[in-house]
Amino acid sequence: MYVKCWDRNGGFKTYRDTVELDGSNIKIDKADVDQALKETTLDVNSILLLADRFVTKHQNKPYYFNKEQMQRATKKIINYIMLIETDAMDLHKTKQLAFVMNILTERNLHEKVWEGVKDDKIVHDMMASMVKATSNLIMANRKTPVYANDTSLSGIKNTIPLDLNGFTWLAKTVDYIIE
Amino acid sequence: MGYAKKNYFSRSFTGIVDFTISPKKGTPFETEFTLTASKSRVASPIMCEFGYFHPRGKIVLPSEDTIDNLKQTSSKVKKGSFNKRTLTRKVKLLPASDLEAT
Repeated sequence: MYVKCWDRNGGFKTYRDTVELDGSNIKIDKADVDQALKETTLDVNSILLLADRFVTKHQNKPYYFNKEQMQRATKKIINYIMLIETDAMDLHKTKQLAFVMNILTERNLHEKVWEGVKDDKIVHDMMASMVKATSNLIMANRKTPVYANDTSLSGIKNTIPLDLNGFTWLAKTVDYIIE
Repeated sequence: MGYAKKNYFSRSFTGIVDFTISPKKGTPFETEFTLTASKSRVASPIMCEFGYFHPRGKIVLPSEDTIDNLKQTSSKVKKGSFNKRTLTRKVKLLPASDLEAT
């Protein structure tokens, strides 16, 4: 973990420390996911904590699946991504969210998460939101963050908002959506 | 013969930030870690940002200084300020999974 500090002139220092994580006790079940869905904090880490329950295979087990919870989580995550203004994007946010979109769209479409929903409009709106959220992440790449001394980018004027992995994940997302 | 050398991004402020994390061990998703950055030993006001490293990339955590929220750079949103206040942030962490799905 780190803390990066800087002054008005952009002079900065970074301090690092480590924590030990024991992943052998991770338990993803309905109660755990319900609790994660209740979280109201909307920052990248909180969204990733929710998304990771669905987009990562933990302890070599298959992806966690619960249709109703996956629908709720997808809505929440997609809404979050749509809210982000493209000029608030940076490489770190875009990359993390591109990965989430990649796995989430794949699972939503291949595991037929929305099959059986009676109201076609709900499904249609969800697809539209997926497209919009993906576009939001892609559009971030058209922005060059401006110089600002109120973010940690202050020492790095031209941060590229998407790297090769991020591009690949977004390209896969587009593939799943148009499939 | 001498030589000229310029070190890019090598400026830094005067003083030390005391960075602590508690506890030092925990379980992903569950354990709430407390990060503290004390600025009492720095000479001039600064801003600080917390974050952590994950195999999929760096994860930046919002702080009282940067107010890194959804609309961080929007002119409509209040921006953070340089100060010498101690910064504290509680956070749960993602497991350090592999990049298996790429």
